[in-house]
Amino acid sequence: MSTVHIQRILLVAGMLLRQSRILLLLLLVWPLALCAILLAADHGKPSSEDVSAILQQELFYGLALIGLGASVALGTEQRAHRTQQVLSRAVGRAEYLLALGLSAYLPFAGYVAVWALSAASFAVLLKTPMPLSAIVAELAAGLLLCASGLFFSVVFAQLIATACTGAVLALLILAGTHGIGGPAGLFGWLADQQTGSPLAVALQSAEVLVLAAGVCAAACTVFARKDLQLH
Amino acid sequence: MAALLRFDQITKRYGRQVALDSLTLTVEAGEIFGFVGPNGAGKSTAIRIAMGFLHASAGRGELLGVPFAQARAARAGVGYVPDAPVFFASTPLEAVLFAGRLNSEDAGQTDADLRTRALELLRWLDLPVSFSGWRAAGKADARKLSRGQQQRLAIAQALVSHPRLLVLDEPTSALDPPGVSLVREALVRSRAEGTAVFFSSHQLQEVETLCDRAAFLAAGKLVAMGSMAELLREGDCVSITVRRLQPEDPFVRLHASTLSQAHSIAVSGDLVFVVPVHEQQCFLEQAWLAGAELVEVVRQRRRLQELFEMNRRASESGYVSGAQSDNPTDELRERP
Repeated sequence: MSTVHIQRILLVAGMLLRQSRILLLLLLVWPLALCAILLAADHGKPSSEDVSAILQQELFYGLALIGLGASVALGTEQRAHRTQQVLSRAVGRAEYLLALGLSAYLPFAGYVAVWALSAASFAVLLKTPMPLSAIVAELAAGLLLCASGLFFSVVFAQLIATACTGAVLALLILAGTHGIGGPAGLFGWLADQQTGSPLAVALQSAEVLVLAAGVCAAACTVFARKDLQLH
Repeated sequence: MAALLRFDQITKRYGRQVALDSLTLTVEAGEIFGFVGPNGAGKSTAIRIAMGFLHASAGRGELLGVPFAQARAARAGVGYVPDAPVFFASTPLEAVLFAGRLNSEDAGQTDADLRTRALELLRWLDLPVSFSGWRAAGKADARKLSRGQQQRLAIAQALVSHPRLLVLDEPTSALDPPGVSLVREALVRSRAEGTAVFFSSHQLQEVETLCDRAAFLAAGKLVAMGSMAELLREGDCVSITVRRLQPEDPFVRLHASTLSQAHSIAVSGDLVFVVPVHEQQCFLEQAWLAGAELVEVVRQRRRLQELFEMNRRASESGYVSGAQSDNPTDELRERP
C-alpha cells in the first residue's frame, strides 16, 4: 500500500472521527477522571479491591460505549449518501472500507491506551503486574467487532458486542472463582492457563492478528462486489 | 474523439424487476447532455452504475475509456454531484479541499493549486469563504448550509479537480430560481472550460435551454435520444393566423366544432388556429372563401414538455416495451 493510499485513508478517517470528536474526547477522559476520583476519595491509597472494580467498570462500560458509538456511526455512514460523494472521487472501495474501520478502531485503541495508562498507574501504585497480553487481546477483539459492524446491520454488531461482553463477564466470574480479581489478572490468568510460555502468548497474538487481517481482506473483497445501498 | 461516458447495452435488475433495460448512449467531450425521464425511469440507476456505486447485471460501460468497475483512477477526471449531497463536519472551504485532496495525486494538483481553485469556486458559486467571530462559528459547518448552498457546494467539490466530465443527478431539484440560475451558469461555464456535462433533470426548460443533446428514459428503456434540434424539430401542426373574421361567423363556428385539435385565440382581432399539417390546405381554402385575410402560417415547434408527456404516456401504456429503433425519436413519432 503506497503513501498515497494511506493518505487517502487517513483523510477520510479523520473526517469521520472529527464528527464525533466531543463524545470521543469525553470517553477518553473518563478513565482518568475515575482514577482521579478514586485517588481523591481514598486519600491517594486505594484498596486493591477498589482498583479492580474501577478498572473492570472502565473496561466494560468504556468498551461497550466505544463499540456502540462506532457501530452507530458506521451504520449511519452506510445509510448516508455521503458514501457516494467519497467513492465518486479517486478512492477505492478497499480504501474507503479501511478508513471506516480505522475510524472505528482508533477510538477503541485510544480508549485502551488511556485505560492501560490508568491500569499501569494503579499497578505501580499497588505493585501488581499488568500483562501486555491484556492490551493485545482487547485491541484484537475491538478490530473484529468493528469489522463485523461494517458488513452487517448495526443491530447485528450490537448483538456481537453484547455476546463479547457476556463472554468476558463469564470469564471474569470464572477468574473470580480462582481467586483472581480485575481484568489485568484475568488476562494474565488466561495467558498462563492456556499457553504457559511467553513464546506461546506471542504466537497466539500473531494468530489473532492474522485472523483479523483475513477478516479485513474478506471484507474488502465482499464490499468491492456489493452494490451500495443508496435508497 | 473517444466518448467520455459510454453505456453499451447496460441492464440492471433487482430480482425480477428491471430497473434499466439495455441502455446504450455516449457522452462526447465538450457537450452538455440532458438525461430526462419521469420518477423511477432509471436515471439515477444509470448514473450510479456509471460512477461504480452499482454493478450492472449485463452490458458494458466505460468512464473516460475505463470499464466502470475499474474506474477508480479515472474518477479523478470526473466530478459527481448527487441529488442530495451530505457533508462531513467542516467549513465549505475544508469540504472542497477534502474533495480535491482525495483526487490530488491522480489529478496532479498541489495543495496550493487546490486552495486557489477552491477559493475561486466558492466565490464563483456565491458560497461563504471565511467566518469570523464565535457567533459565526456555528454557521461554518457545511452541514448547516441551506439546501441550495449545499447543492452549490457539491458542485464546487465536483469541479475542484478540473474534471473532464461532470455528472449531476437532479442538480436543481428543490432550488429556488436564483439557485437554479447559479447552477445553470456553473454548467455553462464548465463547458466553456472544456468539461462535458451529463445531468439528469426534471426541469425541462433547463434541459431545453442548456443541452446540446438529450435522452429520454421511461420504465428503464431509452425511448428518445438526439440533439436538441432533432428532438425539437418541427411538429405535425401549423398555426394559422387570420383576420377579418368574427367568432360568430359560420366558418369559425364550423372549425371550432369540427376540428377537435384546433383552438383559436383572439389577439387584437386576429384569430389563431392550430390545425394538423394535412388539413391546412383545405382549411386555407375555406378561410379564403369565407373572406378571411391570411396573416401568417407557421409550422409549430414542438416543446420538450410535449415530448416528455408523450414519453410518459407511452411508458404508462406499455408501448415502449417493444424493440428499440436506431432512432427512438422516429419510433415515437409513429405512435398513435
